[in-house]
Amino acid sequence: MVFLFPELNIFEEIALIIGIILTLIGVFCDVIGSIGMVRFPNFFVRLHAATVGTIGGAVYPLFGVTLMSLALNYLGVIRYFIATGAFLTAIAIVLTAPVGSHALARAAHRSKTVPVEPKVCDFLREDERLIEE
Amino acid sequence: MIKGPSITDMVLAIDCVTYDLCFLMGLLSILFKIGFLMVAALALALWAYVLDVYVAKYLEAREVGD
Repeated sequence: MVFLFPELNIFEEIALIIGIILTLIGVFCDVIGSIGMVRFPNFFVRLHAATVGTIGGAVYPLFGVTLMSLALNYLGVIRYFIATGAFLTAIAIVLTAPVGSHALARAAHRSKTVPVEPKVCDFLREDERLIEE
Repeated sequence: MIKGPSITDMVLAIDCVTYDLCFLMGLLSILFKIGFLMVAALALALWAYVLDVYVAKYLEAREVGD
């Protein structure tokens, strides 16, 4: 076993490498999400790209920041503070980001501010029309 | 983010930028050894959720209540 970081022990080195891999996954998902935000034609399709950029691009790197800050021991006592803050932020984003995007999509579809223009079928609108009749 | 086709697109762009800014604050707190940046990141994430819910409620009911 070749040690890449000779001042750390084996567990800190494993945590640091996993944190760097999670950060690289986050960079990849951010690039994919930003390309989708520019290229997609519709709001409801653009919401999918935004969710890829949120969960893949912010939650995985925050868990990576947790592992990295626990591994780097030159930070001193501050590393426990950073790890706790990053973990709580990741849990908050996991709980609140899907709720927010679902509420936004429901409001945009019910208030008819966004046209569902390039579409195949819209079953929700047909159901509302059937209920009105 | 400034001129979306509709108002929900703008809110969605603000959400994405805010969540990525949280992650960037985490990396900067490791780099500069400042612990208090993570408290700001947690507040920023919850603020984005509040913006989502309020805009959705205004679009659906045309009022901002509790």
